Amino acid sequence: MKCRACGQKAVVNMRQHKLALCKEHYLEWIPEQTGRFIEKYKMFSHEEKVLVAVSGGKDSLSLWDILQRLGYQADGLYICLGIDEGLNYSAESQRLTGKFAAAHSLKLHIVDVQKEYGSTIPEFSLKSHRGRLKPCSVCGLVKRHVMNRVARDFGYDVLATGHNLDDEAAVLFGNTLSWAGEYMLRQGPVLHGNSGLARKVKPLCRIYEREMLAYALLRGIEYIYDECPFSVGSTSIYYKQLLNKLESDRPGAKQTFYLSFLEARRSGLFVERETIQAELHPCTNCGQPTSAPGLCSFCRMMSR
Amino acid sequence: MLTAKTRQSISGFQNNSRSRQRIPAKYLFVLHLHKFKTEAIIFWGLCFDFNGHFVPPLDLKVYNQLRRGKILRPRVPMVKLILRDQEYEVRPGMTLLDALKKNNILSEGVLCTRNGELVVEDEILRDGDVIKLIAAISGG
Ligand code: SF4
Ligand SMILES: [Zn+2]
Ligand SMILES: [Zn+2]
Repeated sequence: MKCRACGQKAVVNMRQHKLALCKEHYLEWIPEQTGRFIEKYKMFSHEEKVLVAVSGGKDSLSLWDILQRLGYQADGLYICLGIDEGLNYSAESQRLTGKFAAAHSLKLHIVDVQKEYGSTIPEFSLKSHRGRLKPCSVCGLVKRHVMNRVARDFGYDVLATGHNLDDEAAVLFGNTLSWAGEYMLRQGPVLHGNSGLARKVKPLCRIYEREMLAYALLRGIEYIYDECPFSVGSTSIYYKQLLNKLESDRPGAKQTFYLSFLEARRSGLFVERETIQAELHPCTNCGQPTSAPGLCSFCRMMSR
Repeated sequence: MLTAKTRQSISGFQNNSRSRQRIPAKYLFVLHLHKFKTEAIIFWGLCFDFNGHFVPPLDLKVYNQLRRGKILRPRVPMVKLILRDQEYEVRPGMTLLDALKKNNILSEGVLCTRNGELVVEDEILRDGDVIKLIAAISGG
């Protein structure tokens, strides 16, 4: 297979785009595409300050790399979750994130959940569910809270995460299975900020996970290959596999699923009910918006 | 050609794979023939293929070793696929995509590397290739 741009041997073939590229042109193509989507979905401008949530994984580190190459003002935020489980997961991902930031002289905020809030994620999970569930719900809650807090405290306009198309399609698939309309309304490349919250954007939401992996490999980004030990057997992995099965029979199916959803929503398939638009109240403790008056769910968990 | 009687004297001396396995291992050799590799048996110092045809090995040295009863086992051409701690073996000559399909690996979920370089799925596998697969799917 030959690179479409130069005719040399291709290293990546993207069946859904009918496009194969060599290393050199692929490393140009991905940032170019990302830049295009940032503009298309009006995610942020070169004047705005962007906070990139970096986990040490291939997607978030690549996103940071791309944004910096495109000349955006992107700082990083690493949240140390204190997940070890015999794999040293958090420590290793923090080391790789720190190394990347240092090598590119980028600014990195580090929040250690245990130091700031007293417990690690697995400990929090044990307290609030008595260990019955995976820590992922607690983890998500804490991450969201910390990201919002850091963005507000340091005056960032935008919060960027490394979600790729596979992540988004898997979430959408899960939501479609249960027709979780409220969640679907909020899912998209851009989630507009309100009540003092930073705008949330997903600049990689149109790029396949496999392509992000290829980018990280070709760019030589050192990322953490091991997964979070709690993600093993998760439904999102299962949905991704199902969608990949579909994709292998019909190249482009995954992308169409996500894009036609965005299109359907844009044309008003999901009309916002008034109740959904319920007013948000600031949390009495931390000030972040919450749906019910009083403490937000994060502060409720902390006070337990 | 062997006579019918000789054929019978070697148990299961027929050209079908089921009976092949019944030939005692000590008769079974793998020979370098003219251009390709095939299996043959040595019987009374002579070499026959599974149709009972006499096959003269090209290499006299190989032939003499066989006559002396030494079993030669040339390396079987093989390509190795490695995914995490799993290893799969396939024959060279097929495309990478076919090799993945054969082992029920979705090409959408992996990237393939050879000697640290990415290779695309239409690549024809060569003998001795070691293809490291990198899983693209992550959870969370
Ligand atoms: S898999 Fe669960 S626990 Fe692990 S980082 Fe993701 S959300 Fe947190
Ligand atoms: Zn090229
Ligand atoms: Zn609060």
